[in-house]
Amino acid sequence: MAKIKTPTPAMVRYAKKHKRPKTYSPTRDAVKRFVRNRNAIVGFIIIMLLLVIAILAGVIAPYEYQAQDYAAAFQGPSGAHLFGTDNYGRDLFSRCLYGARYTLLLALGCVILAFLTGGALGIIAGYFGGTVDTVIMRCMDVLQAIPQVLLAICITSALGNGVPQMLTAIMFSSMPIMSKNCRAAILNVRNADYVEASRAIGVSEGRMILKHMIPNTVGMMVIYVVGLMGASINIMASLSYLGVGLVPPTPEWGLILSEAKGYFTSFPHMVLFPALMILITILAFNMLGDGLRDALDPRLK
Amino acid sequence: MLKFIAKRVLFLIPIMLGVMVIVFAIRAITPGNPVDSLLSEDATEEQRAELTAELGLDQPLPVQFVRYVGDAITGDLGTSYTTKQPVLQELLTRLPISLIVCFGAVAIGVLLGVPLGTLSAVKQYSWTDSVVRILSMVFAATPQFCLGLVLIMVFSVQLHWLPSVGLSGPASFILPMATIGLSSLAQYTRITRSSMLEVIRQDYIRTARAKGQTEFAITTRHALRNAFIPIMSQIGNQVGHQLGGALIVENVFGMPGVGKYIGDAITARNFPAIQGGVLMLALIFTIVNLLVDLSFAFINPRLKSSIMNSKAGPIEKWWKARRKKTADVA
Amino acid sequence: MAEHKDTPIVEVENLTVHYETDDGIVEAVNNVSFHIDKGEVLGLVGETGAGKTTIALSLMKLLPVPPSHVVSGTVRLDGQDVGVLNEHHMRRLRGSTVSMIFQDPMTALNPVKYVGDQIAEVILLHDKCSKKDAMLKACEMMKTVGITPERYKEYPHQFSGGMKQRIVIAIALACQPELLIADEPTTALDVTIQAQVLEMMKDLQRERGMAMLMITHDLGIVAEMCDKCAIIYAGEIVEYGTLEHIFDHPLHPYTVGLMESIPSLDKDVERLKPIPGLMIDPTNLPQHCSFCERCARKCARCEQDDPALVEVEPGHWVKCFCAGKEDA
Repeated sequence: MAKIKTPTPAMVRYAKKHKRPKTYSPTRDAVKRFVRNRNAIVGFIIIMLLLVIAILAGVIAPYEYQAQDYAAAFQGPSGAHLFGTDNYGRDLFSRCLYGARYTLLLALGCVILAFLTGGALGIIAGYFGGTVDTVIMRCMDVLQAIPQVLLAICITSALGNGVPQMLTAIMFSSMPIMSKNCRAAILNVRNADYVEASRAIGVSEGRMILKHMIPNTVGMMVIYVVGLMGASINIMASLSYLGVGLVPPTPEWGLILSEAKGYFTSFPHMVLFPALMILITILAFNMLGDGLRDALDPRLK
Repeated sequence: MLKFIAKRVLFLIPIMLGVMVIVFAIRAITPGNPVDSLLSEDATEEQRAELTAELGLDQPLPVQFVRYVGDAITGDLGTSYTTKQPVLQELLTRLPISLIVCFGAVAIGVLLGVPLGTLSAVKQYSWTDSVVRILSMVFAATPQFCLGLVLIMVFSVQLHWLPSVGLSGPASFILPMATIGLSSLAQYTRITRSSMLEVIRQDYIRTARAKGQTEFAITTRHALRNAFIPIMSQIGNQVGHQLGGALIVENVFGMPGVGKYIGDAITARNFPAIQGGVLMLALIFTIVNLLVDLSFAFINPRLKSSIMNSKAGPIEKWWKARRKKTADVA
Repeated sequence: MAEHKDTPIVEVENLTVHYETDDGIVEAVNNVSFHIDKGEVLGLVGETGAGKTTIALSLMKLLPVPPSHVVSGTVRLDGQDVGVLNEHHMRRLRGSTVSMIFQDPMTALNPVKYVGDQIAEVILLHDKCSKKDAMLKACEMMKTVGITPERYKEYPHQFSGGMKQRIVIAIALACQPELLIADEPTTALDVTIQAQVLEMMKDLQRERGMAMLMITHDLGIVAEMCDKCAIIYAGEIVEYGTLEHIFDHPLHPYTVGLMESIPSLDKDVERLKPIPGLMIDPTNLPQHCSFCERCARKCARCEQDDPALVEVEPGHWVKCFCAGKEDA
């Protein structure tokens, strides 16, 4: 008696795939899972587009971001001004394009600083353990006891306005979460059975870091960094809204919004477009982060 | 059990001391002299020196810090530069507003987020799941002040349903609560969804199915209770997020709470007020986290019995004896 | 298959179940037919991955859909076709007519509920009784499986593995099911505890006269507990018969291989004879006999055609071209 074979699409796909030799690697698996994740791809494409906009802002933008034209103030969206104009008659479209450059660059700065400080502390704490771990993590507990936005605002209010001040503020306020995540990633690997096993067969410490620790933690850290990008943009915008951190006429999206907040009931377009830019950017980073998490952690499907 | 609680409460002290160090440092690194802020410009040198001595600003920093801690413990958070009133008193009158907004927001987040997250997990990959996930992602990606502005636009300016700014009765609380609640919705749905997804694949869920239990009862009685531990710890984290959010949202809506107080203090560079406000919010946040930690002991039976067994004090011994007696009778 | 005296409690006909995953189709169960009469104990023996648990879950209609897909075949529980029953009716059968003991007692109990309540839950669902009666009945069940009812208000983590399995058994038996499916009930337990639990299950089965499907990879358990036995390989029944048939005249080379790989006290052998090779990849089953790659007695025909399950003597079925020829 013949076995029942129903050629479903899945089976055909399977058969096609099997023409090439079966080779599996964790990286290829992760890439496969990532590409299959629609959200992640959408997020990735949006971020790429934003990067292009940020780099080519000077070429695409029809006006200079600080060029004022009082005759054209408070205009709604039109052919001449795609996103309309603000109270000084500045073209909001151009400001939003330049905003991509400033916002992304500043957020990247925050994230790099947070990773180099908080991430490094977490890695040190996780790797060395013992007293070092206790001291670092207790300090982080203290920092974490102050809500993140509040801490950032306090630091900027103490240091004053300006780009380096704001970067410092966001760095400090992101430090606890960054260090806790990185520490957890390291601990996860340190205590894993395969590390014990390779130690048992006499693998050297250097080789262990190179072959086990780094490949198994880099993925997690990329996820945290991508997640922090969205969070930094959010905090930056909130700081600008409260009037601390950056100063006008920097075309950071939060600041564009903050300048427009007095007019939003009569000219909603002034709030709408920068708000949408922030929303889309944070959404894209969150989607990318989620996609990476799903791709790199096969357990969470 | 009591020992366990006492230990956790004692742990608050170093944390709060650390927070005081930060708060004090913020003041210390700020350029400018508080004396300038307190006195009018035409004050004499004598008056300035007198005030400097009174505030202890001529002492070395460690001495100033010890004085600051001592004052804070006795409830003296300094005098507001702008109103010349004690900061603590000003904070206490504003605190209830912030607490209502904050815990209302937690309630909205939990009451919407947990059912939505559960639905999204039970119907994984369905359109319900997609809608819930996209919606909560959009809310999470919107900065709180943007969301607040949108809500004002829709519900106050267009529909005239709710008051937009200021505090004029209970209706004023709705929009600020909704703003913070909705922006934290994503965290609750996400954590509920992922922990529910993990739980509904467990063997004991299959056991419950094999008993002939309905899907609804399986979800609510079996799965949700097991998924609740990560959700609880999320609530603890979110309270911090929401206290920070209160700072922004109170400024958007002009609610006279602690957040607005700090916001105004920052604009006026009124440092005792900033320090006091931060200290108070940090204390609330830490206490809420402590309560969440303690509540784990009651949700998670494994933890509960380990606490009960390892640190059996007189009360536990009495309780155990009593329980044994009732069991014998039965 | 055999002559029917009464409606059998379970009838499975030509059951085929696939798991459709992204990496291909797993043909977990292929054209399996068997039945269990009332009060009879059938052993289902096979290696890990042979499809035993899939068969058990499809009897309860508890297979996760997707990825699983019942391609064809019918399952009749007590005369009712499970395939056409709706969820509501199915729920009424589960726990009362048919219940199941799972492999791992460590994870089969809800960690945040009292064990007693977990037993009472099934009673409350199927017997129309008050909560208090259900609790009393649950206490009785605990006594039946040898646990003092004082431990009603304790959590699963306070019990040892063997005790937990007793609780799982109490849950399964609480509503006097007519069929008990035991999916490797002792695999996760210590050897000493295994014997106790098996002994208890056997006594309870005799006492209540219920039918049982005993899934295991341990032929010793089959010899002790079962009336009939089905040997399963790569999702197919390769040999089916009474204990005498299987143990005294095994005909399929796989069964013979299994018998030879059991350590025996009365035979003086230097080494056990394992079956060479590994279990075939169930995503890629051949059109010919799926055992032939590992078969010691294969002939040319085995690599071309798939043998049918043939009744070689009354009640003894074998799925092999060569079966019976040498022995007869």
